[in-house]
Amino acid sequence: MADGAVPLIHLEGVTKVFVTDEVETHALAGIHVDINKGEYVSISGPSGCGKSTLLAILGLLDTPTDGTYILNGKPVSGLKMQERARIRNREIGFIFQAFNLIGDLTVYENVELPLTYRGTPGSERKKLVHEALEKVGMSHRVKHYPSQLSGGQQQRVAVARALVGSPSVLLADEPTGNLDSANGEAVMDLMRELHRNGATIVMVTHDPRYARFADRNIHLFDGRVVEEKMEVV
Amino acid sequence: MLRDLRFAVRSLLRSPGFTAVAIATLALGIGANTTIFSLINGVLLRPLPYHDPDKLVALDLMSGRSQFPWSYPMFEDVRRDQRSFESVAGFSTWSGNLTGVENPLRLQVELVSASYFPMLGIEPALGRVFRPEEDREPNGHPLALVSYRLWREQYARDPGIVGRTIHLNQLPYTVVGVMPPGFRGQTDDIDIWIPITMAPSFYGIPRRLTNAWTFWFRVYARLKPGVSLPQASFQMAPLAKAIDVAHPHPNEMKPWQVRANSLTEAKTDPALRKSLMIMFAAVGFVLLIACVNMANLLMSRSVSRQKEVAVRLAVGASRGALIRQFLTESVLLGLAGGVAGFFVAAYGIDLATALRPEASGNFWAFYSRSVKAESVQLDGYVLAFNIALSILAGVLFGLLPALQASKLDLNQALKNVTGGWSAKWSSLRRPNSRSVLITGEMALALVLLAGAGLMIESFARLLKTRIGATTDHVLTASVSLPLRQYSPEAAVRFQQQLLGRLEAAPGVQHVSVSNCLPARGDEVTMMRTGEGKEWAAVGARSVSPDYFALFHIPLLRGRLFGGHDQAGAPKALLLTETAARHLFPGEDPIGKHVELQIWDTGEQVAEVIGIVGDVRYDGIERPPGDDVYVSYWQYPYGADVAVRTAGDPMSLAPYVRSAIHALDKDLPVYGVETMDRKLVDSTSRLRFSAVLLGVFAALALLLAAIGLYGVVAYSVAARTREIGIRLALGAKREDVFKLVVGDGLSLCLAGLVIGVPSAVAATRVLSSFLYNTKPGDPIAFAAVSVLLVLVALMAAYIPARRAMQVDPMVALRWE
Repeated sequence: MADGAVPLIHLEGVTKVFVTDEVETHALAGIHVDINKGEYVSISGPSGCGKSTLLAILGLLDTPTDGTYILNGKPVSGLKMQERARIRNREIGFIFQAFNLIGDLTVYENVELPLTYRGTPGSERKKLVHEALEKVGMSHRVKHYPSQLSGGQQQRVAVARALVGSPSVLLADEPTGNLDSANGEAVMDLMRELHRNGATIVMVTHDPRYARFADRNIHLFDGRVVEEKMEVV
Repeated sequence: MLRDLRFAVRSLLRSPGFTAVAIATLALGIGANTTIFSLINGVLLRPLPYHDPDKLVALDLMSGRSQFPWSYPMFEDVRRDQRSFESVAGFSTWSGNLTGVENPLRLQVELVSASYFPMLGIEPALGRVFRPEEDREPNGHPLALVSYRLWREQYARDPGIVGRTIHLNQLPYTVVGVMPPGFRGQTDDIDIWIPITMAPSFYGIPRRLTNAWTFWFRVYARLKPGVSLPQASFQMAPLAKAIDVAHPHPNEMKPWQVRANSLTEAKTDPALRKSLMIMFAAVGFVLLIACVNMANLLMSRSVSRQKEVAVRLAVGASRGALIRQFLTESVLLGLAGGVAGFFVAAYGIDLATALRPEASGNFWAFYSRSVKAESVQLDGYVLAFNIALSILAGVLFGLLPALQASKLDLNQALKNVTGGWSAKWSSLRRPNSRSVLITGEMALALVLLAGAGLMIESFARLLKTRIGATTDHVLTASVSLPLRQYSPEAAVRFQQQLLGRLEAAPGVQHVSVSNCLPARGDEVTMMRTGEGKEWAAVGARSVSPDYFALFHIPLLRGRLFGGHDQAGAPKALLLTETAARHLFPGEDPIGKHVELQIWDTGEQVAEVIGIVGDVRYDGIERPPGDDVYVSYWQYPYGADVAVRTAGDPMSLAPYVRSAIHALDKDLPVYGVETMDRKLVDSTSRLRFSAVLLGVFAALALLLAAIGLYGVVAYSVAARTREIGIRLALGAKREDVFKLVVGDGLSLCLAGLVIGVPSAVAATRVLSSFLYNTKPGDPIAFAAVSVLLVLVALMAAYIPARRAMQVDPMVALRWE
């Protein structure tokens, strides 16, 4: 973190407790993390360590039980559902392990979706969607449906969808988990390229090979940050 | 097969909720069909309950395209000269007063030829029927047969009834037999039969058997062996010519023809047949909608059975075996629905017979088979139909799900990978089996709604129709004075005394006696406006002076009847506005004289004294005709007493009865009801179609709404992940709500696109049943389209609310 710079993401004492049948599960127990603009951070740890919960909180899909989350200088942990949806749409781009493309929509429509919810005018949407698909090398497949694409191609489309609205941060949850190694490498190369061009990326992965692509690795265990180290490229 | 059946039973019992919903859905669809089929069976299909009914024919007397009843001299000519028939019989129906019993009764009487019973093959339960020699001499044989019902209810099944004397219209008749149970003559309501040659004394009209121009009865005949219907018709031509020669008509008239029709055909009311066929199509639509719902239900269910199907396929089941297994279940469901539907039909029949339409008002319709509880029953034919339909429905709704289920991707299913059936069927965005089915369902529902909407609009317009008379607070009762006992003078005295007594009752404002009531008049007479002018048929209304004040019928010109328009005074006549316009175009009729041929009184001259407002007498549906009023005191025909009261008219009913019985204890009083109630009866035909179609359309709408709800709800459940993704990408809750409602609405709109043109075409068949409404009426179509859209919105609302609650976390959890 550069001295004096305001972090893009600031988590302070973030906890998440799930209560089921009088049993309390502490998924996150006091997380303190700062992520700067333009940083590439990987989050790793064993199953059940709280990676996905942390990602859900970072992505405003879930709210912390306690603690502070400041995104782009604005506290977001106590926001109403409507406002969270708006910030999610403008500030965050998701890349999921299972691509999560909508089967009924074409490649173009899938990528267009975040802009539709933002209310971007049609002509601008068209331009942005084509630019995003150009970036991931999928502009020749705009009319295809997801089922007509390979896994690697689907994930590239998912990356384009995450990029299209120029979000502040890309959150990637095991982006290579459903891909073979060749396609996995290609997606990681793509993300590295995006990072070089200035994108802020937070990636959950349990694969040490891909964790090394990041500038910094945060290791979780039992809901706590147990190690934080800078990668030397 | 038995194993399939056993498994099907077990499988259905394992899902009691699904099974209950399925049986209820099918019970409604199959029950509605069974109801209408039982009406069709009872009214159209069941063989006539006579010996060898295919040999029976109705002989119709025709002049041009007009059908006439027979006159007795013409009937005798044909009976004597014909060679095609084993026997020919005439009959006529009228009501008569039975006295000498505890309470005098107004009963339906059938006057018949002696050949009538042998020709139909009807044997008496007791005694004998009339002998041939007993229908030759006018008024020669005052004999009677009584119905089984009358024998049971009035004579306690006394075998000594044979030989006893009963009094009909104050005339003594000797009972010679009792007819078998269930036989009630040609109008299904007869209690007494007398020889047709008793007509002069029974009707009190001496020339009944001798006047060739008095048309009053129908004729049936039985074909000789080896003679076909076309042959018989052909042989009628010379007989018709002989009638023309023997009875030359005084006026210009087309030559007579005698047409032989199959009796089964002749006893079918074409309007009722068409109405029942439309109902049959309507319930067919309801069943189709129910089948679509069932197919969708089964497809949803088969998703949860993927694993079971996969295992069956893995262990070597053939596709055919799987289809058979699925079809066994659906046919079993169909049969269970059929059993439940049979009970639904029992209620449906009660409703239909309670709503039974009145005969359509013409002479012939009274002899047609109608929707009556006695003839409409759940018999063996109905049961067979019910079972066949249940099996057919089972195959219909089971086939598509069975075919789809048997096409499962075995590899994917065994790995439990989503993307098999559920992914394929959850989407409503692209056409698939479910969306196509539900669109069709919406289109069918719209066709039914449009039909019902038009009928209901017609019915509403009919109810709003101004008939030209005010009918609230009016009590009506009928008292028929036997002509033998009451001369015209005695009848006038009786009615004047009766009106005097009724006027004195507290709360009574006006009283009248007449041969008609608004919307309930069918007497027609011939009238011409002067020597050498053409005779015209006019509605003849004989009324006492207060009739106009009672029904608030306005006097437009001239004067009304007064106390001086009595028997012996110059005959006075009032014209309705329409009659004045048609019969005296461009002239002032007041003071003019007309000639009347009224009720066997011969030609008489009457002076037009005034013009009154139009009243619809020929039913509410028909516009006012050419009607004329004569003074009841000059023409004492008719038996309808009307009383306008300040309070509840029915509270006066006991007083009216006692006032009549105080004058003559032997007179039966009948038809005691409010005028408003009588008007309701006169709308019964349209009501029958409107209510039944309305019920079926409501059923269709309900089923379509359930179907749409099921499909949208299933789609939401199967698209939870997609909704989560959308939310993760920034969709707001209302975006998700709009998405789901939009999906439901798009199916509904697709249904409208197909349904509206289909409904425009389909509702054309209703045109003859509509009143002041056109088949493609834009108001009715707009109303039912909006209704369908609203119902679709409601059906999609609950799943849409559920979709709004989806947690966007599912986008991550489904990894």
